[in-house]
Amino acid sequence: MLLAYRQKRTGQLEAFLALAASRKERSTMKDFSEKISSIAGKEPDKLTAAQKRGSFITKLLMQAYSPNETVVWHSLFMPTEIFYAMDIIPFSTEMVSAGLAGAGLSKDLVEIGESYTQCNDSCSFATCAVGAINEDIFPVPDFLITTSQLCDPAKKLASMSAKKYGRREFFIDVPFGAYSLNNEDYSIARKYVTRQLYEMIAFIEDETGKKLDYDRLAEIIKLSNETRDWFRKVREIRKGPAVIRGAKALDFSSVLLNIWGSNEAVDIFRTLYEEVGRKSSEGGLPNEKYRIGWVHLRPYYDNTIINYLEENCGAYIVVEENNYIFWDELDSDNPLESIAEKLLANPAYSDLQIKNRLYSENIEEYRLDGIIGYAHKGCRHFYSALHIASEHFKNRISFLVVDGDCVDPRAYSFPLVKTRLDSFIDSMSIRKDGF
Amino acid sequence: MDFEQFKTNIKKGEFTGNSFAWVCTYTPEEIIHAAGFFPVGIRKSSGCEDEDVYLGRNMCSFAHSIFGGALRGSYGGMKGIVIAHGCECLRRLYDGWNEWNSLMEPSYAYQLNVPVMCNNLAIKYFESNLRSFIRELEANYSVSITDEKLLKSIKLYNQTRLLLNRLAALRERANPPVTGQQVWEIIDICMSTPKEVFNEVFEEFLLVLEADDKGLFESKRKRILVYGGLYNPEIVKYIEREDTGGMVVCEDTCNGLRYFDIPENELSTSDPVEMISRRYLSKMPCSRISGHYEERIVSDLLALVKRYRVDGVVYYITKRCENQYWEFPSIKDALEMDGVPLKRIEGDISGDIPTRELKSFIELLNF
Repeated sequence: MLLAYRQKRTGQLEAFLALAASRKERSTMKDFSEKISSIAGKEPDKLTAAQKRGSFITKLLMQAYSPNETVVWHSLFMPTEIFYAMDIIPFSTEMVSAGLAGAGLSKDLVEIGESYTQCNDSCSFATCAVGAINEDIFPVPDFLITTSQLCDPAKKLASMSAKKYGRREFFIDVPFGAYSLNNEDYSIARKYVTRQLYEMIAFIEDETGKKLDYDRLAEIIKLSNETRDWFRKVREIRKGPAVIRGAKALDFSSVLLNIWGSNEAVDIFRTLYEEVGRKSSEGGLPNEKYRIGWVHLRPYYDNTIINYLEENCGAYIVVEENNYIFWDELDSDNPLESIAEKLLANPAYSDLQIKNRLYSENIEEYRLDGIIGYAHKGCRHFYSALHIASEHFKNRISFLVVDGDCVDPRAYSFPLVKTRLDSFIDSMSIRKDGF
Repeated sequence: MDFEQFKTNIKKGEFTGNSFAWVCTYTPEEIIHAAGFFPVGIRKSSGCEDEDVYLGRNMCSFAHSIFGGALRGSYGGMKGIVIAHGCECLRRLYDGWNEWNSLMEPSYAYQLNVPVMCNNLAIKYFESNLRSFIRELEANYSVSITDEKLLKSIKLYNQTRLLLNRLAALRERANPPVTGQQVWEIIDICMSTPKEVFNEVFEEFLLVLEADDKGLFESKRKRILVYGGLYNPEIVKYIEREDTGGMVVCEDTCNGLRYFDIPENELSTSDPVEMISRRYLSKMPCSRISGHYEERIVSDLLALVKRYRVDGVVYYITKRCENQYWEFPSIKDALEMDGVPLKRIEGDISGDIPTRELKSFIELLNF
């Protein structure tokens, strides 16, 4: 027998699709339905990595609306291996907000969200999600799992959602700055998070009435590790000539994706490896003049910035902060300790000296000419970090911080950004060519 | 002794040497004190917010104020600062301090990791963080922080909390012998005066207040509770003006009850660090707290509304504080359910306030 609250999901999906259809003209994914139909007609083996990723994410999204599925709303960076081992569909409200921006829905939803928060300078990922929740277009969760990473609104958004839907939430406190801890303190932090993961599993078992099968988790962890291996190889190839367009690479956002632990993820990243390998053997993308490192995310409602850089200026993004595989291979014999380490290893959740060290390594390893940080205006965490980092690196490399918003299109103006991009290109040109 | 005499007497005993700064009420002053320092809370505007051009414009005025103050020498002579990882803005304040270390005064900064939830596991974990903090202070300043010293500091700070709670109890009266403005000043003095001096002088003043059964307000006033993190003291001044017609009877804020609500339980354990850890995570939570303990934010507020027979609540949001922005709707819902009038005011930790909005709110309470 279906649980009563889950039956709402069908109506929520209908409302979501109706809203998307009504705003189709605003979408940057105007050809989305064509893409879907072209994918549908193709042999699965013939799909590109990006198509496979899009297809799998769409499948997960549709599953989340199924009344037959167990759905967890989780915060960003929550490792998903345990969810896959327990047949739970992961749903990240903030990631879906990025999709809503691409679908042209974010402006209206952010405005609705602002009537809830009563402010207009909070994080638009979270504000857009609140708008969607208030419009009741997200699938009601079975339960929620939230961590303290990274940002303050995410925690509050989750507790608000739990109350709204009358569902239970489990909260995990991840110590900040584990990167800087000495061995003894790190070991204590790992135990602290591991204990919470055990408690989380007990919570999920209580919610679902199903026990976690640790053998299955070990299998899932192997898949996660295999995915990691393929993506690390992709990163190695990208140290050579540019082989993939920046927006496409950014959209893999490997550290944010909630597909880790699935069979599909292995296939997606293996395909990506094969694609970039082929492109590399062909000599890479045309007219590479400058190599760019990209920090934070991009505007999801418009892709002109990156297109302009790559198509008009030959400035290719070759490395992204959100595609950095920061965790070690997971240990299938000690899965929870290992997942705790994955949570602790996130350099974004550490002091800025750690991030600066990683940027330094990227400058060398990827032979960068410049770094661009897209400073999401509502994000206290990244916005300030980018401004501090740009000062830190100003004598070493051209470092441009573009103030903007990833989800809310209302204040976006490409001509204003273009002026800054042109100056940035000039600055790289002077450093590189001396004129 | 009247209020002015109290302030004069405190100044006589003022101590300025060997001070060590803290910024968030989740920082255990007892540890700094046991290290032989004089803990000073940086809890109000330095007046140098605009000096900070480094942290980026979307930080709150508190972070800008501290950073600008440190750049301009407002905290000169202090030996160091401990910045608790209280929120995203304090996180970046610490990063900025490290990045421009040579420009900052004091130059030494320690980031204290504080769990965002309260349960036995978190208390145990915080205990280990506090031990690291102790080791760091010992190594960096060649001091020894023994259990004996910690227990002595705990006793001293518990005495302060006891006194401040006696002060808070006086405000339950129909006509309290102390104004909200005075309380703001008393807490401010308390945070920046050695507790040895404060306790002695304040207790004397408190006895006078306790004996005063007349009260300070001549006319009948609306009883206001101010809720927030760090609030702008101008709010209280304005509410308590004769022509505005309110009196502040309670502050559910980080400069109010959250600073002193509960003592360390000296009977719970013989281990002072465990005692401190339990006290700081179990105190009245601020908006940074998550998990089950977050529910206490609302229940504490509702209990205070009853205890102080509050006519209306002013929720003061420090601009750009994400925790407060996102907490507000749940506070609003809870107060609405209980039929408690609420006014949301957004602003910085100093400077102008929307006086018209405040005035009309208090006028409405009279209908």
